[in-house]
Amino acid sequence: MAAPDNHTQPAFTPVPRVQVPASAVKGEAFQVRTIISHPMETGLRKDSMGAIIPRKIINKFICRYGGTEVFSAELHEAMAANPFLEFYLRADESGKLEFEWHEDGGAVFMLEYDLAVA
Amino acid sequence: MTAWTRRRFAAHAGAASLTVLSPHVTCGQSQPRVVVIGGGVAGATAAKHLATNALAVTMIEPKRRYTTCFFSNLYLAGLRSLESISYEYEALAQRHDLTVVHESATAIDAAAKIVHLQGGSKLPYDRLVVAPGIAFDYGAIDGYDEAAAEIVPHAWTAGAQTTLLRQQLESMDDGGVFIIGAPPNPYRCPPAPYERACLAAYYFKQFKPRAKILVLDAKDSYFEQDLIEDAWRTHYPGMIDWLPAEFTGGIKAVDVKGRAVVTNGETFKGAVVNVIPPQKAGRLAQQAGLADRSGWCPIHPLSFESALEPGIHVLGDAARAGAMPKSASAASSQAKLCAAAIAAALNGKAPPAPHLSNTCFTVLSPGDAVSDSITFETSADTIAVANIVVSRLGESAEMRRGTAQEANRWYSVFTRDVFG
Amino acid sequence: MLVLAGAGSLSTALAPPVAAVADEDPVDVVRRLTGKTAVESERVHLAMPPKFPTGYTVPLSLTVDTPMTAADHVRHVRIFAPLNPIVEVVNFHFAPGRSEARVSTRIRLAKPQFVLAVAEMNDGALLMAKTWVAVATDGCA
Repeated sequence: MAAPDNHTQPAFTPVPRVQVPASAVKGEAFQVRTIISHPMETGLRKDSMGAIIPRKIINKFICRYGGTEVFSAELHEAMAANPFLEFYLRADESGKLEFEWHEDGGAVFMLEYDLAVA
Repeated sequence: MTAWTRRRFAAHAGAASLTVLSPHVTCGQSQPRVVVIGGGVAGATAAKHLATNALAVTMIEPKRRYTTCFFSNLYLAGLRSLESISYEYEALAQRHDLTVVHESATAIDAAAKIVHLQGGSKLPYDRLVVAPGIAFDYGAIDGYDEAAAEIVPHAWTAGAQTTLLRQQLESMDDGGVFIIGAPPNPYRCPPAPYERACLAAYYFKQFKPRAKILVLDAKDSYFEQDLIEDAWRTHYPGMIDWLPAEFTGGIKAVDVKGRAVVTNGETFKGAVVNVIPPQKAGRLAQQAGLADRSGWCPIHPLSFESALEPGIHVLGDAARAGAMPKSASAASSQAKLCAAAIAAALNGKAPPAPHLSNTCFTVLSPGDAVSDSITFETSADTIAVANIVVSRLGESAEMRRGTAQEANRWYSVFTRDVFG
Repeated sequence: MLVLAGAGSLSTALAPPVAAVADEDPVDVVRRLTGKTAVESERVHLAMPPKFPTGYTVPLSLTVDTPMTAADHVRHVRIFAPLNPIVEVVNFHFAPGRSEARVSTRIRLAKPQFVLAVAEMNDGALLMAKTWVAVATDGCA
């Protein structure tokens, strides 16, 4: 029986998380923090048999407010695992914040938050 | 000579705290007296190595049984019994030229060179070694004090705390969340919170497969993070989540009754909560003025003599030892150097050349362990990394199995070296 | 094969960037990767630790001095690690009036190197900053 390969990483569902304030002041910048549990497999590593472990990363992050893209990023292999992004937005009226993480292969993970702007 | 130098260690439960020890007198000569406060790895190693040098050595340790914090995560996982990681002091007292006193040291009078014991006795010394281990910075996290630790254990000193955490994990419902609050640097045993996540996950995988583990870190990264995260994904996929302080804002408070951890952004509720609070040098070191504002004890690297109090040496986790981590292996290495330095000073010999080293094993799952082995370059002012060998990603399963076996062998040999 | 796109944008049709040799001038690296000349500018602040014990997760903070108005804003900022096997790390997109030109994240570095931030402004100018990061394995923290 072959020795178990200690690099087989069974699939699991990445968990995205977001920290946003419950409310913001009109026109004033507020902080958004996002993180998603993901190995960001670069496609450069080999398993113990010498075979390349295929690339699988979160390749895109999009933040929309009121339906409009306000911040986004294309992520490549050199982004650290469990990609963390902290950015700053301004809003003039209350609305919905939407977050999307796109994974190689087409899966999309989403979160949304209502933001009250006074 | 042997009749009086080898004191029989009295382990009767009913006995009051041990007697005051009068200075040893034999053949009209008195030996220099060295008192060691603390019977952990640093203290026990120092006492044992001092004892071979024509010195009158007394080690003070209130506990009669010492459970090693290292390897205690294996007990949490059900892989070791508590007995198999616990040691008593008879062998030390019987086989070596030293006396063990099971009392608490309550104060150090550095001017008079006297250690005060709880029962009222006083121990004079010519040199003092203080190895008090760590104390917790209660108050750094709102709501987490000594009383709270009886409900939300830290299990960062081994013994009752470890058993408490194990009981809570056993009682946890399947599907519950086990929260581990990892501390800020510096702290005892850098990889251990993450090893705990690994081994708790191993236990859950067998008995509570829907359980989850959430590690809330005071830090943004940690040593061997690539190896640990790789192990989490390989052995325990989807079970462990780690959130850095840059995301959560760090742990601000603990709601003990509600089993919740409050961070800057969000409150996380758990079924079992294990908070490992920020740390500092043990209480006695603080009281004796051996610690500086960092909370740790500065020392002179070539002898581990306190930089604040001459004639007193500080060893182990309580010391600030440059690039050395706070680990059992480091404590042992420091203690051997310190003992040789004290013996040389008291016996008028040349000081020893330093050979400080550290070896740490991290058990990721049974049969998969990683290790790091460091040698240090020591000067009058610094302890720096000279050479480091660390396990790598991509090692074969066979190699990792070998490291796991090596870890077990190391533990047996090491504990025999310390307590035997 | 390197394909130069039209003058106005950084094309994504370029061939995968080849890792730089050590000592290659950052401006040359950027020209090779983008087809355009970037100018080092104090308006671009790339903050990374000069020394870090691991290349596995190195913190990066980026700010561009700009009011983020329709008339004066940064469109995107690309981060490059020329000595990594895959050089381009991330491309951030900002929106005037909606997001600040400010982001923090973590990246992987294969070896000590200059990390580059190249900001494309709304007038097409490329502004860049570089910072040296010495990643190592220093032992137990």
